[in-house]
Amino acid sequence: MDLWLTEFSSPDAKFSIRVEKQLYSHTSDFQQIDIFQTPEFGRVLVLDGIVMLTEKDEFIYHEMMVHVPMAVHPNVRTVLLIGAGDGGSLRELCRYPDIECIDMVEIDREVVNACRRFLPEVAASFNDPRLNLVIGDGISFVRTKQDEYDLIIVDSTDPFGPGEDLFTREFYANCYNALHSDGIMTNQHESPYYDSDAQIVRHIHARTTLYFPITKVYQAHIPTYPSGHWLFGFSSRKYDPVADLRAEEWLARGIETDYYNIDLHRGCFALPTYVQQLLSGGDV
Amino acid sequence: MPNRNVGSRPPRSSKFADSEHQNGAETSPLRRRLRQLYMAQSSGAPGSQGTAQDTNELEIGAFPDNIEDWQPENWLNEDLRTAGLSDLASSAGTIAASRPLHPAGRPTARPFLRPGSSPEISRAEGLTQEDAPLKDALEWYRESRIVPFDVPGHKQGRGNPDLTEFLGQRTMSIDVNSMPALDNLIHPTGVIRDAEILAAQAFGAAASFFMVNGTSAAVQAMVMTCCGEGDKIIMPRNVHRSSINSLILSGAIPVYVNPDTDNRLGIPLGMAVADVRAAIERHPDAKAVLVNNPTYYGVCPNLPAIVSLAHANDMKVLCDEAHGTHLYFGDNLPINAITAGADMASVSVHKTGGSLTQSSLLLLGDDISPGLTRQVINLTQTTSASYLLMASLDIARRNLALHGREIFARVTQYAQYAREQVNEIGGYYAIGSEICNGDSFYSFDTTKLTVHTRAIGLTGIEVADKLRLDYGIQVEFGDTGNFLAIISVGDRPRDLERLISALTEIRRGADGDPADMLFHEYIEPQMVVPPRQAYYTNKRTVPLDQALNEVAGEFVMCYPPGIPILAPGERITSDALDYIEYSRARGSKMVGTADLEVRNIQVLTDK
Repeated sequence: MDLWLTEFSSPDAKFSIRVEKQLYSHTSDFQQIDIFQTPEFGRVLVLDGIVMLTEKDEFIYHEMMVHVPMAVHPNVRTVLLIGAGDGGSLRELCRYPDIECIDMVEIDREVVNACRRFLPEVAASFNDPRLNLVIGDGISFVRTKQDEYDLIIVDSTDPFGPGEDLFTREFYANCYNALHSDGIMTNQHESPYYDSDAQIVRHIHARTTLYFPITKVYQAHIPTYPSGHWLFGFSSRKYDPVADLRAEEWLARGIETDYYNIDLHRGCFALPTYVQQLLSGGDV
Repeated sequence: MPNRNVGSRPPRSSKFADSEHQNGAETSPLRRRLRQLYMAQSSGAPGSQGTAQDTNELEIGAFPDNIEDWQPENWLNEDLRTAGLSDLASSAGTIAASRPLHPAGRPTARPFLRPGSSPEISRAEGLTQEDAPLKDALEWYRESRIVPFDVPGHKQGRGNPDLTEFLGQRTMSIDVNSMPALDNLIHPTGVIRDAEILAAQAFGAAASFFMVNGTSAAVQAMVMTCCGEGDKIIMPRNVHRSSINSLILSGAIPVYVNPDTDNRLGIPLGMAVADVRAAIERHPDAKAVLVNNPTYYGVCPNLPAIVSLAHANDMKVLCDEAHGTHLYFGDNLPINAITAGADMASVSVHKTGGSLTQSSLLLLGDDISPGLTRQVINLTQTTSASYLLMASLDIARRNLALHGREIFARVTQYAQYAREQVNEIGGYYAIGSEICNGDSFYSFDTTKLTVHTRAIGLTGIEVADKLRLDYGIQVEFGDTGNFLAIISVGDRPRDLERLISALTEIRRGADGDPADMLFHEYIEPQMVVPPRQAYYTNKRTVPLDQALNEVAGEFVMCYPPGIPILAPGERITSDALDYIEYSRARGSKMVGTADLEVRNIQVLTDK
């Protein structure tokens, strides 16, 4: 049997993963959820036909989402995680004992349930006592919050489907208001490579720049995402991600990572010229 | 008996292969009986007419109960036609039509492709709300691969590849012309008639008409059906321009009733019952009363009281229900026109019911002649009615009939949630049933999200502009004090969340002072000459700011909502001019004059 999972990177380019078997398939109120066993990437979570994570490379995404801001902000106590139903970002956050409270708002309970069942290495921290899991709409939750968080992590799906709201101007505005004055927001920033994704990159950057005085973009290489070249946003009212890096403090924590390190932190904000050009002059 | 052959209907989506009903048909007693007839006919036996009648009556009782297994059209009429028994074919078709038919599939051959085929006739009495006869006919058309040597010239899209690429082949292939199998809107006897009958049933009306020139045409048809030249019609002044246009077309004379105004919100309400009574007493010769149900803002008057008052005085009640489709399918919503006993209602199915823009329904009560109404509609309606629009009405009607209650229960719930959340932001006031006053604001359409914005120091227009320009959210309209978001069959909770979040953010940035906001919304019109006379009187063009005390020869209005500030024949007062300038300065889009900039206005030469 020759079974392949294919995702189109663009209408004219596609990426395929050989599938051993399908472990789970369910249509939730929000999306189609599938989990496959694959020989190359281990288990693969797919939402609405789009690869969300694989066991083999999820560490890259989740480490970059969490450790970059955690190595900058001196004193993260309260965190708001938006989306992130697979639990990967939560797992990384829970490695910081100083964090006192993590509000996590995921719209689709079924994603959490499926990941806890089939991806236990990723969904490893749902029993952490600091977690307050809210099943609901991120945009709705955040607009009621004022000056409550040190860190907001927007770990969303793509801007089509249930994650759409998490790329809007009103959402970023409300995140800004939900943060303390020295708070940081990191967000999934899509890929700069293929045209349709690149347009979204411009919008996200233009919209976050409207509210946050410091808005930087950093990158990582994630093999199973379209083009493999992925961006993250770092937005803050106070801290510059490189100038204000607290390298010694972070190293002293002794957190072991497989992708993130202090040298990479400094380097990942250095962007290719075409990405710099892409980010300048986007429309809101 | 005319050769009206039900068997020549286009097929419904076929779930059975032809051979299957052929087999089923072999065992049918009716078929056996008809075979005998056929034999008798071909051997020239006398008295076949009587026998046929006999057969017809006889076989009604023998009709199989399981209608799904019984597909007579496919073979029956074909055999009969071969036998020269087209009259009998028709009778047999009538039998089929008189039975409840299962919606899932009624496959037929395509007999009307053959020479000598007959025009379609209606079989609506056999249809249920699960049917969509016009849609089925168009699907048949698409599948039949007919070679079109008729209009439209794009010939199923081939002649305009760019448009076909843009709209899709499926859409283009049913953008067709009237033909026997597809009926004709100006004189419907087949699938369009069926679809209209089903729509009438779904809305509880005595008759319905598919309208493809928008609800404006429906409103005009109502007025022109009930009022001729010089007849009086009682109406509130806060009607849509289409109502006043209908006065120009018909020559009817408006008797305006000042709609009550909510002083806090600055919105016009409905007509108070006492004001309608006073107008009726002053003008007992009026022919009709025109009522908005609801207004754009969701305000419903005491319609049952107005209806009984009007009927007691021999006046018809015409309802502009452009914003009221859902009233026919919702629980805990204001009463709809037909249930309230109104005589005619114009319903924009496209506004909240899910059909395509410009498609609409005109509904009749029991006391209006459908034939007359059809003639009036045909005065102005196109003879090339769009099948895309008509099919959208047919499919929307089916969806509303089958799922409307559930849909609008959800819509009401969404709107209620949005109201609560908007009110929690502070500053805004999302209107709810609490401000009903038992008369001019008798009930509130709770699917409407009407938000009063003055307290945050922004006009509704300004909030609507911010939503669009800054947040990519389009609301229906904003006026000087309010904006309106339409919540309907197509909405999703996450879109509401975006709206609420954006309003939260706009509120944070708003620092305007409510004190400098102009308060007035309803301008008492001074009608100098009736609209039709004004329309046909000589005019000259003057700058708007020099038009004080002239008589307007044309409309001026903010669009939306399209309620005239000035209508033809009305005195141009300083109130009206102030309001125009204020609305314009606050970003309202002004329309109506021949001058697209609305800086000049035509006024009557002889006052």
